[in-house]
Amino acid sequence: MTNHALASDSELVSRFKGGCQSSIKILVDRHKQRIFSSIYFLVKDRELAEDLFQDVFIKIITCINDNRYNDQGKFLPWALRISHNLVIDYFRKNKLMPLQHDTETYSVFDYLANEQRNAEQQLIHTERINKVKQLIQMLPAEQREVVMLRHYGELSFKEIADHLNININTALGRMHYAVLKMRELMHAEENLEKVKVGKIK
Amino acid sequence: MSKTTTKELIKYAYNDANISESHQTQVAIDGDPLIAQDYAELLQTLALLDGFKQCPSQQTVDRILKFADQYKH
Repeated sequence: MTNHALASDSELVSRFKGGCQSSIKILVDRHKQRIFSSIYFLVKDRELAEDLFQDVFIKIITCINDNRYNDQGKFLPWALRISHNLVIDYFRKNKLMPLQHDTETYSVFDYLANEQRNAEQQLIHTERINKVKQLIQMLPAEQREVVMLRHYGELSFKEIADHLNININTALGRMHYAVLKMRELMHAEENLEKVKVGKIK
Repeated sequence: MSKTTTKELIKYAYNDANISESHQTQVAIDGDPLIAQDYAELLQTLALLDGFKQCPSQQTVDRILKFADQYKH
């Protein structure tokens, strides 16, 4: 009996091509969080992200079955390139600017998964999400894109550079400035907290 | 004097550096408290981003698997 859970992505792709349906389920489960997060981070609309995520896997399944899958063993970077291209296509077709900022009435963070939490856990979670929201909102679009591809998509900086058609140093530079900006904001918050504590004393 | 930059720390944090770069960065972190602090802050910043990871609904996953079913041999 073969163990799908331990199989590599390439093995699962081969097994699916050979007619094993359960291997595609493992691939979806294994990579759904990374691929979905990377889409959601860009489009900021849960329903749209669900649709695009579905389109990504329909394309993946079709490519595999048409023998057009040739990623040299790197399934995830290939899948993320497909998802990123589909997002860009969506924005182009709808004449929208990608990577728009949240509006006052809408925020992607309003739709974060509602896991089972008690009141205290929910409060901590909400604070944490608000903090991340602030950090990410501060980033220019091109920096957010690199953060998304590196942190959520887990592409290497070389893969990001190839995908975005930029120099690897530019990709690293964008991540660098994104981190600096986030850190700056974190320090500003910490200082604000210190001032608040000082006032109470 | 260490020339380790934040870019190098980022590559190291993401396991994106080659063996030689990783070794140099590790030596720099171990030997310089300021770089070690920088690295700790970097990890703290990156850890915050983990709070945003999301999953698609089971309904969407089921639709994908149903689509895959048509390729049954």
